[in-house]
Amino acid sequence: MTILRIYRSEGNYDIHHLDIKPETKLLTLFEQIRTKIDSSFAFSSECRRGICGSCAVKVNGIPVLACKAEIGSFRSGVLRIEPLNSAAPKIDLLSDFEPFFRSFSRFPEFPPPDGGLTRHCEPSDALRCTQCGICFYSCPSVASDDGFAGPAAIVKAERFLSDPADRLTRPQLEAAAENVYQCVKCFRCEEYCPRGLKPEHSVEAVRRRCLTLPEDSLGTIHTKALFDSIFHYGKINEVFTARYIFGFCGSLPLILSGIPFLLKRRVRIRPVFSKNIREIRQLLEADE
Amino acid sequence: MTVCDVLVIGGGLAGLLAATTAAESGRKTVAVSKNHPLRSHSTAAAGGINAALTEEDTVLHIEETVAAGCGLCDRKAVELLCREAAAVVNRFLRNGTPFQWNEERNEPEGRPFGAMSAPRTRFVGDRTGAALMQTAFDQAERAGVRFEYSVFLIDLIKDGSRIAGAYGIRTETGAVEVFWAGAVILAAGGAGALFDVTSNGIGSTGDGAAMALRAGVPLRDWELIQFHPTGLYPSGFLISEAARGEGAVLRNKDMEAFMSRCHEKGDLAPRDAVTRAIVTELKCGRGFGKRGDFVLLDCRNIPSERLSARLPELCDLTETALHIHPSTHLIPVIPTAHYFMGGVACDLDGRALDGIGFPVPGLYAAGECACTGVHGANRVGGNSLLETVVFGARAGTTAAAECTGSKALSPPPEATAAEAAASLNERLTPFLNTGETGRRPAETPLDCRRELKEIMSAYCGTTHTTVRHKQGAAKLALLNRRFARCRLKTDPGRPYNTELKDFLETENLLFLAEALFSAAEERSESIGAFCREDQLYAGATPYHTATEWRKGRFLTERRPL
Amino acid sequence: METVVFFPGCMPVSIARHQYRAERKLLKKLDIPFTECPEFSCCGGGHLQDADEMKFFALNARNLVYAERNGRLLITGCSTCYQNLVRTAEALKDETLRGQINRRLNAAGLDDYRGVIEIRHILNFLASSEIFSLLENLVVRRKKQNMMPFYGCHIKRPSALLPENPDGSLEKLLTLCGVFVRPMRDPYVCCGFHGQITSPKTSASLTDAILSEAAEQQCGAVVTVCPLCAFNIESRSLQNGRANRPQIIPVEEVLLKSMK
Repeated sequence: MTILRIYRSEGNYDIHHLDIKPETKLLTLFEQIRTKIDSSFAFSSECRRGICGSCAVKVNGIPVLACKAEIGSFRSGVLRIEPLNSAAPKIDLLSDFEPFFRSFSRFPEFPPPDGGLTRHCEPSDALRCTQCGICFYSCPSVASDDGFAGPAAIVKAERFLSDPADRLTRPQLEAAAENVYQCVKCFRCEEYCPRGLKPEHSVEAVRRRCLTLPEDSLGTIHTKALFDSIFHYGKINEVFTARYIFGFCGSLPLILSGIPFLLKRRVRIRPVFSKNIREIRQLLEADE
Repeated sequence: MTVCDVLVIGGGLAGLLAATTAAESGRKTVAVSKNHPLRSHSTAAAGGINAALTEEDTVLHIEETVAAGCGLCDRKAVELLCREAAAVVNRFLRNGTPFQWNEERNEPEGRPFGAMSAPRTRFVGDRTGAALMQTAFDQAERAGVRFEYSVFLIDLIKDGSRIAGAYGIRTETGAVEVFWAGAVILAAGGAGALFDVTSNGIGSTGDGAAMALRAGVPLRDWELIQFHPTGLYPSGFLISEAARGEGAVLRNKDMEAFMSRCHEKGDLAPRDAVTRAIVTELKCGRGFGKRGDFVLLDCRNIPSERLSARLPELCDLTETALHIHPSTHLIPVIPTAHYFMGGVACDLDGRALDGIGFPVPGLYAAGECACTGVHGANRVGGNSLLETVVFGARAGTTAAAECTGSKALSPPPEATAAEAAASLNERLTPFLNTGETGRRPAETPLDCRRELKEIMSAYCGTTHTTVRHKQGAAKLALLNRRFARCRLKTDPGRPYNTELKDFLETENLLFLAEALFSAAEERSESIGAFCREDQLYAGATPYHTATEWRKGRFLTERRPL
Repeated sequence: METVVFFPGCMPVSIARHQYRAERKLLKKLDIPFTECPEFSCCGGGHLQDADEMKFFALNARNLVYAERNGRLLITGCSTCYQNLVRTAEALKDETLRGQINRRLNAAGLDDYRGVIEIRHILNFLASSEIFSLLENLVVRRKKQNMMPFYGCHIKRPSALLPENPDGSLEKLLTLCGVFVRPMRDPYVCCGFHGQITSPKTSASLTDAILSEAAEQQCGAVVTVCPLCAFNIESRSLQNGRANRPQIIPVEEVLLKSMK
């Protein structure tokens, strides 16, 4: 016996007790409810086979595609089913997707700058993205409304990086540079992506490209600071990185904020060096 | 009310191309769809887009397309289609579509496809449709197309004899929306959802075709429906022809690769031939399973790296649906309703034609809901994406050139909006929940839809006979009466009212089903994808059918080519 | 018992020495022989791959080479180190990539990375049945306090990469110590550490959510399994200057304090 608690409106859940085979897909269940129990029950679906991305919902807080998720794959016998975008006004399992699609369009495909037909990018995994919005609506940086374009958009932007015609144009790359450092590397997008894409790898790739920009941004300085710290000490040295990023005076508040930790006898003042640091430096210098 | 120059109905590939070209010509263009373009059925197109890159190959492409069309093709349209293909692929390439590349020839890689002698299907894995859609969508946005992607359009609006717009319901608010335009391009796709076993999404309900019929525009060759040979058993989800293009083989109960016996091109025969062969195998008791109702697709001879690189969607589908991997297991397949060759008849520039071959003022059509004559009685795999792109763009250009700009439009009658709301109201009133339940509990639209699908698959599916048409039409009439007893549970003005959408879609499907029976009965011989068991051979002269909704009933007439 | 290679990570040796001391003491009390290589470097801190992925692999492969010299099992108390080391080990299962990285290592005078070392997070290690039975004998004092177990992200995500599922292990250890476990709504929420500098708004909102949940649950302490989470949450709570600040305690310290 499986118990379903399905969101209908604020604070109002429908409860269904159903005997279901564990291999039943969640979407089949929704369809049965709509046909047999309540014709007004609203959810969206289109292809029913996992390529259109219409039917993403949250089950016990975890986003899934209803057409791919099997009832038996959830460990709990009670399934709390809610719309994906819990922040927007919503009815049943539907909510406004506009923010996601708007963000997805932030890095559009462009003809190469020289206008000519050159070689093109490799067919990459990025095209397997179905725009289901799962990564977008589980991303904390998107939720905190920091202007982050979201994982799917970054995956799309990364696709242009591998293009010999350099389709990620300078303005786009600059836009990306502002954006891609908003990621806090929580790996939720990668965890939940129903297509097994790796948005965090895309974030890394775009960040690597950002280092080629002539102007530094806070993000690129941060990356360089950590790199240099590892180069010098073999470790991340907090004082070194703070000074690198914010300058001597700018870093003072940050360094002083460590005093309570110092008082708790948690801080070693003399910097720690890795032994055989020469090897580390050689590895970090090596370019093949 | 929205006033624009060009109104595009549908957000699939044909709609996007039409909207882009119209907007690029400086016309204020609005594209209306019931779902986001990136969710449209075009994204499900898998195998690829045909494009011959040399003159020699182009000629071959034309000949093979015409041959597969069984004499119903419009040769001029086919020539146009094939000759523009290379330019189309190059445009997509330049704009960013990452076609699989052939390093040696320094051109997009071609993959062998059904009914073709040369590998000319250009592809992006088995997600070609999605890749093209992404490029096309970005182009359309850049061209300044305004997207209204959650409006369910109900009917066209006429201004005298001119088609002057459309009205529908905005999903998020439930409010009635009117679009008033100088030109209307129909690109609303096919009606695969008529069938039980279909490769189409549940949204392919032929809303555009139904709208056209209700506005008095006839449908040409509506009965010509392609059944794709390889749909996953039992759902009918599409398994791309690319699988056979890469080397997969169909097998029957005795593990015989029966296509080599049935057709000289073997597994890459035209789709109608493969489907007929499978139907025959099943009829002769050589099917698999307890009921012998499917055959098997054997992909084991494709190296597994190639499988996962070139057919990732196939692997994903079999994994999700059956928990098997194509490199180790055989895949159960059945023919599945796939594509409507027929639709709103158009000329080469996308103008919709009326029953006697004159353009309908203000109306254009493109894509699956149009019938340009390039597919004839049987479509070649990989030609549909090509058609949407080539003829979508042409329709956009024509509409932009011919439309009376919105500034020149006579100020839209203020009454239009109220009229639209009133006519919707009139249509819905009988179905509103008035509290009385009658003797039996009222049915839901979805019950009716499920039954309709069963009727269509059984009586108007892969094979036809007059007897079955009669039985089917009778059942459909009964179902129509039951549908009339359906009651909406919710207020039609409710936001996100999917019940109302279900209801209107089902109404469209029932309407189109009736048209289908009428058209199918008129076609008295087998031709291409249309297979009559009571008359196997094509007549001497091929003809089109034209199905029209006149005075409350359907009328189908034959028309010479 | 075989010698275990202990990989402390950067932060415990520099500004979270209480965790470092606790980890070492705990291993001693458990009578587990361990070595710690002074050659160990940073794992890249989750950001070296943003500069150069090959160098990131090379640096971690170097760490793994030193670990392989000294044992067959590496344990680390830092979730980010854990994730990065596992990621390197998984990526280097690819022969070509391993060849390239080994060439770099050899050029720097190091041995080949062989790919035989097993990498575990100290939490999973402690909660595994073998070690847990040792702990059961050692833990005597019962801490009667409300505590909120917090896992953070890199110990679990991406679960397709990481070999062990930590679900419930923190609760198991805390219950052993007699702690009243107050479960979080989502104990795998991100603490925001990696966005502290570049995405301060997100980072702060994430950390504040954790702190306010602790306050809501009336927890005197949040138990962490990663020094980065601990540092981030604690410095944020100091910054906020709340009167009833929760203590942020590494799980190793909770265990240690419950022993004789």
